[in-house]
Amino acid sequence: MVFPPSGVRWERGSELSDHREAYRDLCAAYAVGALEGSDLKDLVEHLESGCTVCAEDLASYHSLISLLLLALPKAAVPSELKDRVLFAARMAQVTKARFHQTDQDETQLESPPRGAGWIRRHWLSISASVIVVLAGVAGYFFLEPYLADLSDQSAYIRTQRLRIDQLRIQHSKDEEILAVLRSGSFDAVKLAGQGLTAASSGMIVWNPSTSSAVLQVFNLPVAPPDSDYQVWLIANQAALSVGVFVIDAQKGLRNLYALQTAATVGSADSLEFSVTLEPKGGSAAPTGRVCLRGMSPPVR
Amino acid sequence: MSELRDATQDGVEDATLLERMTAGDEQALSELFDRYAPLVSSFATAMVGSSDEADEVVYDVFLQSWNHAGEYRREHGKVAAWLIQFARKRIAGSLHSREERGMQTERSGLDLFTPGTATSGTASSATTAPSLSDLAVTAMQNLDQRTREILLFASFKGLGESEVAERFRLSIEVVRAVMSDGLSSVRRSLGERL
Repeated sequence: MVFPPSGVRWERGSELSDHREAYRDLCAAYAVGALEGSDLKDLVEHLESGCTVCAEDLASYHSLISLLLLALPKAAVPSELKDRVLFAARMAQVTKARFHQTDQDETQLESPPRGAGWIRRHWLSISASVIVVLAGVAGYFFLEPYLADLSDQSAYIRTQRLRIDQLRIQHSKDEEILAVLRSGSFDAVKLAGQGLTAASSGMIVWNPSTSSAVLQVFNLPVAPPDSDYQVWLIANQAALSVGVFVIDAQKGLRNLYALQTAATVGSADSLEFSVTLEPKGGSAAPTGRVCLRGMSPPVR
Repeated sequence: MSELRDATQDGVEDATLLERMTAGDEQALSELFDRYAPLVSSFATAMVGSSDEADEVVYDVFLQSWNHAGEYRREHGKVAAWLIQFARKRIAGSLHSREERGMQTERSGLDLFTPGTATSGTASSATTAPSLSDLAVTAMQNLDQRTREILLFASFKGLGESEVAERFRLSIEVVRAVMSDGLSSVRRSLGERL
């Protein structure tokens, strides 16, 4: 296949048509990934020269093939596969850096030239000294990247372990939340913002048989450093603490909290829930301003 | 995505991700994986049949993309097509090895293109127009058997033109012509919609 020189501009319609015809089969073979040998190399160079005609044809072929790919049955990608890929990429980076360092080090190990007579007289001690020095330097440069690698790997492993611990904690919290919802017998109470937090809202799902709750809040600001939000259940004119929670600004919509009170709630005509701002760690009784409030339907 | 054009998500083009990967940006690799791992996985699963082996193909493809990101050129085509090239080569090696050992090769993925097979995935109903993908698959089903098989062997099984020529006892020039005629026929079937 003889390729026209690069950079030729096809001005006339017939030349354009001839050009397209000349490259049609090559572009098709290239698009499906079958083109080989010198023709492959030449076509790539031709494309890199900026031929818009062939680029347009190739794009059209690629679109067709992509439509066929999109028709294939969808397959799931396991979540841990990405972690494996990223880890392998990181190891490839570290290995590449080590070999690059080793190449640099080898150029530094050349000895400067010496006078011939001096070398003949002291050849043994020179040899011994050079060997010792070389061994020391080589040992240092050989071991140092490994230590650096180990340090990098250790740091990476520590990061991953931290992440695993965070995920375990989150999973544990999620399980607590699900335990309340799975019980099947709970009351859901909407909470409305009060006063300064009028723009806030919330929902509390209360399980009376286990005295546990799941709380979700919206637009509740992060508490001051010396304060915490505390949830109260007011029944039979008594306020029972259901728990203390801390707003996590990172959670966004996932501001869900599992709460548990040790107290048993007896029968009551209705239950009122409120969220107040209390001193850090919570209080024995509500003392701070009310941020959210809501009333449950009568207990059945 | 309704069409496999070079994706731009959050304002970042695929080619930009590859440039960042060349500089060692692992986050760029993570984003590329999120964009195209499902597609590569679908392709690999259809070709090799086993999800475990398909996972290994996906792993190798993205590791290859990391190691060779600096070699990608926009003139070579879309990034997605570049990734599928890696997958083809990886799968071709696997399939050859199986054939040499006398093992059967799963063909379930290519059954989609057998004439008379209903299209799936991008599903259409009686009340909606068929998708472009469905039309393309139907167009493939309507090709003559030789043209269809040549296109499928090259596109999906990673066979080079010389291997296809040997398998079908044709010259390389004829193989190329058959491929381009087949793709042109599919393109005509899609008409203005492409």
